[in-house]
Amino acid sequence: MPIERGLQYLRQMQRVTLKNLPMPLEKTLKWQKAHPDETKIKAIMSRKGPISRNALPPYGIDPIQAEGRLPWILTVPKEPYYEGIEEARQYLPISLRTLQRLIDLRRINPEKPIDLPVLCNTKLFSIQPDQRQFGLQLIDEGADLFSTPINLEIQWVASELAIAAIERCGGVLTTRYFDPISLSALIDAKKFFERGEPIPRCDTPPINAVEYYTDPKQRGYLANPDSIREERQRLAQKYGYKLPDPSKFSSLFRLKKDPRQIFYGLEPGWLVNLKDQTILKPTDSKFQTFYHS
Amino acid sequence: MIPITNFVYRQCSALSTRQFLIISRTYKSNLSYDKLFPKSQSLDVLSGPIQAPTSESSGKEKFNGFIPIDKLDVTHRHARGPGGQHVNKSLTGVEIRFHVESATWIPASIKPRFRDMNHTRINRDGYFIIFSDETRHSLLNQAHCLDRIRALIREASLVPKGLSDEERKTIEQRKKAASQERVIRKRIQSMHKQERKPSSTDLN
Repeated sequence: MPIERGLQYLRQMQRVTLKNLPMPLEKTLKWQKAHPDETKIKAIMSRKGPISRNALPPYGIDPIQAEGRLPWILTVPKEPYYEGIEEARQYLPISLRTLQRLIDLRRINPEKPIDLPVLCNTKLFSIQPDQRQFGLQLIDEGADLFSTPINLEIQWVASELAIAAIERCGGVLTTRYFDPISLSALIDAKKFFERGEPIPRCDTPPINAVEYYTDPKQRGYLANPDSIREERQRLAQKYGYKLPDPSKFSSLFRLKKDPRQIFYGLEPGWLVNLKDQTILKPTDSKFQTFYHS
Repeated sequence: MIPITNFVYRQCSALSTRQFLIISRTYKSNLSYDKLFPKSQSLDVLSGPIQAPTSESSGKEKFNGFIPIDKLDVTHRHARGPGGQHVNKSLTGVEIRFHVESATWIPASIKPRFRDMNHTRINRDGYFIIFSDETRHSLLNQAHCLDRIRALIREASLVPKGLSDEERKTIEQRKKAASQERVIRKRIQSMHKQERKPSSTDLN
């Protein structure tokens, strides 16, 4: 019986004490003899010379033959061309020209708000979240051609001309951040719903993006609406167009997502069942507080 | 039961039930706009009070910066320079005209100075003309024209400060001192020249 054998061992084996416990390698005498400490070496060695005076030359230089020779660390050049590429965010470009073309070919409905799932459903963009791609950016090519009022939600805008081109036609632009998990849900919404995961709650942008998304000049979604209104007026005066009458917009045009919301009309935490055409909502208070935080 | 579909283009003038449900449902997290900006005057980006000027300066002394775009005559023309088919076919040059006398958005105190300083840009009928084809986009060229108009109005509105009494006094004093020194130098030079001539005194 295994219990009997165990008891036998207990009778024969020694008591567990500090001496019996396994010691870390660095505390054994054998290891300490092979790796002497700096202070030990200095105590043994002479009191003069570069070692005792902390004046050793850098590695790769022989003090006798040192003339004109570089230390090893300087013989290899530093070429930091791709520094920070692991954290750099990429945005796929979409020009105003392609937008206008899609609207003219009736692949996009300008009367409804245009955001990332609408543009990804056209199958013109393949966004890969694992390749550090964070969405789409608006390019100002075709700024003169663009002539439809739209409610556009994009992830990045670099040029003021693109913003002006949209607002000149009477449209609205907002820049919106999506973290990679939310992005994978938005790129292929149908596939995401078939996975059977609850709709994620969108994260706040990383620290180096907060300045951009709180800037009214970039129409960031976390910027003060008062400042955004001022900027719209400023751009209208700068580029020479008139802002449209606000009463003429339909309520569908004015739709704006909450900063934690990903899909229009759907809340984070909901589980969408496409097959049975139902939505399952969490009732537990724990989940409700999380998804509303 | 709420069906979820892609946004497919359909001509619908009235709000369908789905659109109504989307609009009426309001999800508010801890980061909702009314919590982020509790003191804002209006959370709507389209409508609300604006501090920047939205109408003309109404005959006041100072130009408030607002230019009414309806009152400007904007025409798109051919741009100049190289560029092949693109520059020949596309009308990216922007010309802006307006009648100076009937422009109420320029304050009356600035207008005569503006007219004098830019008399080369104003034609016989009294229209101020400015043209720009700096960039490939007509929108940017329009912005360039308006920027130049604003700069010209600002130049016209800057009145020179003028000299104060002290400054005038010092300038007069300096002028006097300079002229006195000049006269002294002149006299010395003339004496030199006279000494060179044979004198009329009789040396016996």
